Amino acid sequence: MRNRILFALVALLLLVPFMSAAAQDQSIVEIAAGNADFSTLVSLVQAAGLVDTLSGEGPFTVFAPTNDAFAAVPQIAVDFLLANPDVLTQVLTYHVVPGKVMSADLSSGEVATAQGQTIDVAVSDAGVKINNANVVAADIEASNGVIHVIDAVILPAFELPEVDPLAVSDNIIAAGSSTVFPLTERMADLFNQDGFGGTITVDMIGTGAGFERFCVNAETDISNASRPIRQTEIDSCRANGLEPVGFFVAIDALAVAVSRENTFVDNLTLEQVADIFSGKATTWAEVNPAWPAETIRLFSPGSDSGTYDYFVEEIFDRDETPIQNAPGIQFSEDDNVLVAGVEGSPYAIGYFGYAYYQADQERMRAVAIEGIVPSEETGTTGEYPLSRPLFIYSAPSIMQAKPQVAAFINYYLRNANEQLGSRPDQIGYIPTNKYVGRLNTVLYLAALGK
Amino acid sequence: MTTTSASRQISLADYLADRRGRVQRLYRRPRLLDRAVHTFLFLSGALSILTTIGFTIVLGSEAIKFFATTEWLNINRQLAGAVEADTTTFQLNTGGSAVAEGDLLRLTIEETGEQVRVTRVLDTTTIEVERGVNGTLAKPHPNGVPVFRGAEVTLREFFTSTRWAPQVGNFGVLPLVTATFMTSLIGMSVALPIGLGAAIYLSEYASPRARAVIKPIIEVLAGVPTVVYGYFALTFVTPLLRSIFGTDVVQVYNMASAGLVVGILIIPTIASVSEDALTAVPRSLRDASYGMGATRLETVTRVLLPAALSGISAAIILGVSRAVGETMIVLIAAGAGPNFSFNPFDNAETMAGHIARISTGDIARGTIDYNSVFAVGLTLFVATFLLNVASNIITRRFREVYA
Repeated sequence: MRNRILFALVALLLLVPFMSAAAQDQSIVEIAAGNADFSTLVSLVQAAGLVDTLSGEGPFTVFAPTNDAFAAVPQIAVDFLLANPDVLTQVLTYHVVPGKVMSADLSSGEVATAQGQTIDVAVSDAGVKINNANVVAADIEASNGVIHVIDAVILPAFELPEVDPLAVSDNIIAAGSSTVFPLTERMADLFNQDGFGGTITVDMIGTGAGFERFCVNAETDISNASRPIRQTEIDSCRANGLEPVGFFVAIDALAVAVSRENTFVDNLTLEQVADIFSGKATTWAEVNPAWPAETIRLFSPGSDSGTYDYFVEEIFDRDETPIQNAPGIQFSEDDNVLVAGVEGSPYAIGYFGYAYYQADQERMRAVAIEGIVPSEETGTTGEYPLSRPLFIYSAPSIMQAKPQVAAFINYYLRNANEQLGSRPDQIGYIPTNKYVGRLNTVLYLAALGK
Repeated sequence: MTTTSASRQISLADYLADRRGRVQRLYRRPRLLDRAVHTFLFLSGALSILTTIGFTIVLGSEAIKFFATTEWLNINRQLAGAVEADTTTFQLNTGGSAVAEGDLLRLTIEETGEQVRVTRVLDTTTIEVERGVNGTLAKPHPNGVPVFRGAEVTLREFFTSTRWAPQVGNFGVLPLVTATFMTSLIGMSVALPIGLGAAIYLSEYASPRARAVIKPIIEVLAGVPTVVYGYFALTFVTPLLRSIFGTDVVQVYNMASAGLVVGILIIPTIASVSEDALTAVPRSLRDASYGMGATRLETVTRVLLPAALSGISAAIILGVSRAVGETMIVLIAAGAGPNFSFNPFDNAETMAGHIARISTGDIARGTIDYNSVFAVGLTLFVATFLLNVASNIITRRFREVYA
């Protein structure tokens, strides 16, 4: 959150001098070209041959992503756009709405773009969101319309190619994070059920070791990861002729929850969470003197669960000693036991996979961590500290050489979200939203080069 | 029927002759069915004995392994950088549990992996070690090899420490023992007066008609599945206790609720065994007592109870062993973590409950959890075994023989 505000301020500061100088007689393209912060956008507009169009009569409303916004798009996708002018044109015209819409005229809802598909506008006290992007500066008037600056590139929906598990065979080897493992394994089972004749191996060896096998040994086709790939890992992949491309498939998040009867705890810092779950603070008053001097009752998922592993990793830097030694802590592999325990006492606290918390949220209340309330949105953006994105990585060279890998990833991207949630037959992660899905599609098409 | 048949003499020849009067030859018939039944009965007896022996051997040997061998704890540390066979300074990854001087470490996940002794801790990620200790072979290891910490379990720690967290090397069984003691004590304080009262009522006071109704009802209690009792404790007794004593005092999972319901569970055991003992007291003793002018109450307390003492003691001990070993009720209602507490309204975990909870996860053979469960199991087994022995001794010692 803080970063975002800072970013908006910087963006505003950058724009202020030229906003005052901005004359009504300059066109949208001229204004953008006159500002270094839009150089990527301008070069893409030129590459797509849209300069004349955007300099035309209009009027247009342009949602202009900054250079930083383009830098956040994986290079492989940008290269793909440059190599495919028609796709690039679709992406760019998706940022353009016919007519001159000032920020004051914006209201929440869907708005049709020049590309044809709609964008989702969400107006709230926090500001204006266009799809997954925030408007960081608004109402820069031009002779043929208006520019609103956004902090992320927005993408229209493209179609993934049809996938037929029966049409491909041979083997697929995946390895990596134990957190992603259940999802990849589920997708592998379904892919086989739908007729794939080959064998899919999924190994649980941890994210780091997974990348080592993927980049250094080049043994695997897909690397499961519970964090984005590091620069050193990208370098070792490239040294081996592999360009890693990551698909964001799910969000793993924890909710720290208290009883609905608990009226005093709203927010905890990560340090306070550590004090509470290590027994360093045994009463609430020891956490915050304003809170009651009652014994804290601790509930934790059992040590066989991934939720426990993630909590220990995030809160205790992988040292289980403090939580195992916390006095009176109760561990259960059965979420119902934990929910009943947390619900039943105003002085109880527990943590849950976010999907499970959601299923029981009328019985418990999630506490904000470092001021951020857990939600699908704060989990997707990564603002919420107890959340992490889950990825599968592959490489264009692998996906092009092995059609079964490309087909499997396609199948994965199409079907993963249905398998995520809190139902017993689902895997307890948060599904990714449609904007993530659109980026995945573009990355997939880019990796296949078509 | 005629009068002649009654007066007719029966001779051996009549037995050997069939109905038509033909004499049968005597020979030994092959009694196959008899044999089969005999063998089946023998096997049934032998099987239960063999099961007990096998059970004791498995439990004992696994538990001994727990005490005799080093347990390896996953401390979430790995080598950060490859080492040669003679490298003595190790770099470890950050995170995970701390390593201290004198710790025994094992490299690789294999049981036979190289063991090293920490001789100096330079900082959180750098240690100096003595290579290849305990007869293991010093050899090169690649980057990322997992490091485990060795933990010795001593009997002294097992029986005196008040902290049970095997995963991080705390092996004091006391919290589990005290919780077992608490729930059994609470259970017996319910079951003993009610069970004994029911037994006295049934054997001395109840009319045959009342007895015919009440006895089966008490026995139905014994037939209720314990999982039902468990949820009865959690969803009825606990809220009741919480409404009486306050939700701040009584935890959602607590020993009192579980103990009370364990008490209800063992009422039939105590009632029926005690009643048998009371009914077995000879009529002559009762008659003599009443003949001396004693009231019914005096007869019960002065004559019958002392006379049936051995049977009643056996009933009590049987009830206690049932309470000590009861699993489902405490698993559901008492709590899901060891807690060294004597407050009946606190959560805690009994030995049986702990074994059940740990075993329902994805427990892997050879892990510390797996091994420790056997040690707890053996403790529980020994406790109930001693109770049974005590029951036998008491029965024999106080038995009144009426010829």
